[in-house]
Amino acid sequence: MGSRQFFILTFGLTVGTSILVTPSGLAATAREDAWLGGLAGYMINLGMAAMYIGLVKLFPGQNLFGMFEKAFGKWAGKAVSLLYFVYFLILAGTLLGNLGFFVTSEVLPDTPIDIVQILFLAACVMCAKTGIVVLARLGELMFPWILFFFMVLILALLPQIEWDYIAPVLEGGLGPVLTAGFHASMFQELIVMVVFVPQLASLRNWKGAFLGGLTFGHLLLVSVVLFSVLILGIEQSANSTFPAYALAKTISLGNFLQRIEGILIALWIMTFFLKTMMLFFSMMQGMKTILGLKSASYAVYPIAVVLLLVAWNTYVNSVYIGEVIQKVWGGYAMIHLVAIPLLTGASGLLRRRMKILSENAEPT
Amino acid sequence: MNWSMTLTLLMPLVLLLEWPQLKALKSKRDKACFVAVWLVATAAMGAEWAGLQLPRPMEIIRVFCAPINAMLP
Amino acid sequence: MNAYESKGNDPDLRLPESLNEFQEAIIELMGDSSDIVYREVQFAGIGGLVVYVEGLADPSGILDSLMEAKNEDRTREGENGVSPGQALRELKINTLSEGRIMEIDSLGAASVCLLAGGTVVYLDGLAKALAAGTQNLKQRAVQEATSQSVVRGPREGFTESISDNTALIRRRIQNPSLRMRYFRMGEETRTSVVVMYMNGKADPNILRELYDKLEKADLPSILESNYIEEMIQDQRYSPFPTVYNSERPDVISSALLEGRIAILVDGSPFVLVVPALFMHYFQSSEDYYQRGDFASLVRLLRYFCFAIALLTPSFYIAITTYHQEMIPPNLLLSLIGQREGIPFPAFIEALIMEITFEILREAGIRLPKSIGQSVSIVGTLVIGQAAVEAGLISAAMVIVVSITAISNFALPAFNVGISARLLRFPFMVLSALFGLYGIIVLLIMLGLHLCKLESMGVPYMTSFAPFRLSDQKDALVRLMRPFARKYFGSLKKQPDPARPSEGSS
Repeated sequence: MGSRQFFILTFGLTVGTSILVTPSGLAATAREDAWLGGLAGYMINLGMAAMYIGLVKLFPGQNLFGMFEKAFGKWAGKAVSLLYFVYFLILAGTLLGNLGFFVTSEVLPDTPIDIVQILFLAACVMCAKTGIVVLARLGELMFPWILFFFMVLILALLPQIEWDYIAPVLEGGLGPVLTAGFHASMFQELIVMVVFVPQLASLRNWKGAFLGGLTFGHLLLVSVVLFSVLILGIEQSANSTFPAYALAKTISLGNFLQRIEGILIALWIMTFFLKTMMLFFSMMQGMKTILGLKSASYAVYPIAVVLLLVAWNTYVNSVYIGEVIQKVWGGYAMIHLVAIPLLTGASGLLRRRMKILSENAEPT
Repeated sequence: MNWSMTLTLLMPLVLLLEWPQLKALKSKRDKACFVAVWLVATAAMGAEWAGLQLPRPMEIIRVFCAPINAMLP
Repeated sequence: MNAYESKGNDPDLRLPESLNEFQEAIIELMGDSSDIVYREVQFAGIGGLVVYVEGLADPSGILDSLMEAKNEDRTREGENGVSPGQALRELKINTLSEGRIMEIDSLGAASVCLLAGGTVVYLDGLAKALAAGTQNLKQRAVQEATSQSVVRGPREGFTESISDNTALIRRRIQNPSLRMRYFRMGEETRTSVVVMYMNGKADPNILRELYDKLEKADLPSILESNYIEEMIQDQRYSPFPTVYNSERPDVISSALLEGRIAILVDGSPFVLVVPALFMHYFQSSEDYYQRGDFASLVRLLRYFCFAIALLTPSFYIAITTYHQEMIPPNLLLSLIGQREGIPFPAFIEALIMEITFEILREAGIRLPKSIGQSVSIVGTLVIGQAAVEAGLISAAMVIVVSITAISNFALPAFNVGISARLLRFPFMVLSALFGLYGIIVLLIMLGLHLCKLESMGVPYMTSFAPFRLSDQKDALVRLMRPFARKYFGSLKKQPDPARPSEGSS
């Protein structure tokens, strides 16, 4: 895997689902400063990324799961890895539910939700069986199109901006901004990329690729939030389930280019696919590392089935999911994205210090 | 269309499809792991087909993360 | 192996030592065919036999030299008899005027030689004979390549004779690095197959894999290069071709110069080229003979045509069935008006029209040239018009199908057009079921398939994914020559991609 592909995959992971749903959460908390909230989220994610980079430095050559084993000992480490496996599983299942929900409520209203998800899973299964290198290549193919569609959206939306919507700035002070940013940052699961760092062809500029993908992804996200506030206004942004889609629906250029939200659908499905596949592959890698397997590709179908079940049991209806995401997900994510990595880093530092001490104590 | 039924009935097909690959790997561990995962998946989907209410993952997480969520803004 | 050795089933029997036995052995091996000629001769006092197949060989040179030798030798007949071995050597070195002469010592080699159009010269009392290359096959002259014609550029096309074809390439690349390797394949047809490459440019790993595949190929007969193509392609079940073919020597020469490998098959004017990547099927030799900027536009147009040929019917079905809000209001009104009385849903309509068109196209191939072209395209439009008036099909559908078909013809390589034709139908089915969402998901699956595909170990989508900036001079557009002395980077086989997940990028 080359560093450009890593960049694209990080980018896809960052944008993933968030492009569709983040504006509403941010707007609800930070009102007109939702876009500042987005920036705050970016800063927080940057910090998290720096921590992950530190982890990679502390445990060279290890993927995420290997790090846990090294930091906490073999069996405790495996238990922690298992925790992450479950985290990724639930996350991916929830994402799948989100997809089904979006498609059946906005795009294909008469289609049963199950078959929409199964179709997507069919593509996921096909990708999972061919391997991450193929996904990386596909990412390279998709990237120009993602950019192109995004540019079209942005350009088409420019005529509709109402600059007053963004005022007043910082009305509520920094507090709501930071809270909103914090909440938003919990949805970027950058730690997934740490699973794949050992597979890079060369470690030369992986940090640049990592941070670059993160930044570029956030650029998109913040733009979407900004435009959402500028065009839809905060009430609509906060209240609609899929603000970006509502945004796309407003596009009207001349009498011709109307209702081209199909572009947003294509964009979203592509980034969504990248994110879901990254989670899928990290699950497979987790299985391989935890259980010491030679390969995990036979588990693809069973995992897909379980994902479907998770999706059905999580996205029961939008009220439930709204409440769960607000109340429960933040803490759950924070454990995995911040708390445990900190502990791992601390353990790594400790071990290193002990090693240096013991080396110094040896007679030369 | 009852998808839980269809998927449950398709699981044995998966077993058949993956078996040659498993044999080629020649590893007891992989075989055991596959069988385990397969059983879990089939059982879960079968339970869904039978109409049993599976535990909602979010509820379990809610219980686990109660202390942390209390701390957050 | 040399040209007269064979693999496998030919009898390895030693040549008998007496003239009559020899003749009998040949008759037994090849039957008493009326086109095998046995001509008795004498050389240096020893009786001999010249055997050849009429129609394949032209032994006049040999017979002339033998007659001349006989005349000169009158003076020497009286000397102590020459041994048959010495006589044979004398024949081989001093007497016979043919260029290609070899000693053979088995019946198998003799039959191979005869069947290839050579002549066997046998001397009594010696278990060896001479095989001379005297082909004089009736074959087509070098003409324009009909399947791939250009406005500007050379008009030579390959013929069915493998020696002509190798000569055509040699003429264009007068470079000692141009190498050839000979294979004789097919148990029943014993067809000559030649692999050509530029030493130093072609990847030795790919060469080795190719030789492996050719040697393992277990075909009874080889009549056209497609037989070989199917044996060497990496993926049997993909609708996309991984082996390129062309009838034009200039195309093959430029491929060789890029470091690719050509496979020539006797009896077919279509030469195979390996490895073949996605972007190669969108390149036409004409791109290089016309202006760079124009060629770039046309090449982009071709990619666009591929997308049109693949997706237009599906988009039509998706938008009219599920996403009517995307159509501008005026167009929407007229479309609805057209679809008013149509008894079929859009999908069935599209299916009917597409199948009708395929039937017409297939029929058009076999009609004589004068009528053939018009039947295909105009025929569809006319039939379509009639169907519209009868109220069976909407006019927009006819336009959609025609555009699809015409875009298909715009693609320079026929085999990629076939892929688009095949893949249209799954897209149509999925768009009928899932609209735009279905199309996007299927596109993702198609992308996955293309990214997974490899041609002789080189990833199929190279230059796009993995993206190589230096190759962009020739992938999507063609930069004019002053800016790009060398167009293409090297095509290296990836280090053992036994499974793509273990390979490199």
